[in-house]
Amino acid sequence: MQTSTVGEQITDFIVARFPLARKRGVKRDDQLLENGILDSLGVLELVTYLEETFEIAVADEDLMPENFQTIERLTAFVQEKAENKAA
Amino acid sequence: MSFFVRQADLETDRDLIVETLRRYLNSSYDNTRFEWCYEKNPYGRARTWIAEDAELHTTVGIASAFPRMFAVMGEVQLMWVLGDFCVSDQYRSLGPALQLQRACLTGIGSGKTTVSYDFPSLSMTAIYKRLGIPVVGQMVRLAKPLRVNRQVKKVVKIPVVAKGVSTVGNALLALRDHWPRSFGGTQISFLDGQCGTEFTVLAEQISSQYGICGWRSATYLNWRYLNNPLYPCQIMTAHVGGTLAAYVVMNQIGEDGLLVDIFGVKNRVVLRSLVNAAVTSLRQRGASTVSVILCDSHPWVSLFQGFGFQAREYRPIVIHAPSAPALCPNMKDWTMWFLTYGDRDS
Repeated sequence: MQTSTVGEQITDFIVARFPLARKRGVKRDDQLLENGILDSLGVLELVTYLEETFEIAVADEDLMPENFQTIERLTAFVQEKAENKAA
Repeated sequence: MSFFVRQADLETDRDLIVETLRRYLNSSYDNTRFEWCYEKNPYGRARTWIAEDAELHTTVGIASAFPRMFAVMGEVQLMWVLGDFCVSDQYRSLGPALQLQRACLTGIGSGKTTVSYDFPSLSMTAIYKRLGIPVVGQMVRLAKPLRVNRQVKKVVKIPVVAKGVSTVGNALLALRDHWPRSFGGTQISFLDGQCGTEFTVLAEQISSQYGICGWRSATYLNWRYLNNPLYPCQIMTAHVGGTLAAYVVMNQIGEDGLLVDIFGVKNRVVLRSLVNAAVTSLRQRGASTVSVILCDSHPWVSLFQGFGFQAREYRPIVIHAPSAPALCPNMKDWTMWFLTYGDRDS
């Protein structure tokens, strides 16, 4: 799974789905939670997207701020999940 | 980043709870509201859980549950209304919220009865969805225009003309609501002072007719509505033959009137007289609209529609009933519930 592709896909989803990201634009290191781009409902939508697109399972204990703070962190989280699944 | 959830002590954690609620939920939530909502509830004190960041020693969020008595098929049972849920911006990744609300639900579930309900926002609905607690029904806001001034002002730009059009429109709206004040021997009046025993007697007599409905004792009504520090209400009563038959709880914020609660006998004439008197009073005080918020399965939704109220927005309701009372095994049967806006936490 390529980092750039995963990151791009997540960015595309966030920009397409969340109005604030679309309005302001979003960079890979922008704070998604603190800046109000994602809220609980947004995280739930994003989780569904990640599970379906990257065929990973996101547990409740994965839903921690450190995994969802930025697109960079999200990308690393998805890759780690995918690698664990493959191993 | 690690955090933990603990049950709050309402004495020692009081300042922390008030400050957190003010910061993340509502800036008007102060000590007075805390005392009223958390400590003076006649059905018991609130229970609160606090999530804290273990490394930074900061508050991540708060979840509370407030006791309510409900008549379930006529038998009075303890339930909980969930509320005052808030999480700091930087922790809104769902995980902390899930752990916090799960702790709250588990905590109140340790008692005999474990039925709880909530009127969640959309974000909160996502948390319940992840917790496996489905939306079982909806609250509907029914609204009725009392004055046309705001609408006319948007369309007619010449003030003198707008005033004339509004006067005619307002008169027509008022005419539509014409209804004798004491029709069919129903005597309508504002309650002077606090609710007395006749309110408890009414609850005892008719609550069983409404499946699952809030236990509206006089003590509860005084606390919930008349002594509410944030949204003080007035109660208008309908007496038939000198006996309390129904009442409506109302308040007004700016130009918007709200029928917060309504309860009484299933009698169209009595209810029509009561609602009309409430509407007339709000109109006289300058209200432009009046709303009533009921569960969409409420038996009086169609009644209000017949009085000229129209359905506006809908909001979800969740009910968590892992161990329902024996009297009513299917607590999630939405058609059993008789909920009004007054059944919220505050």
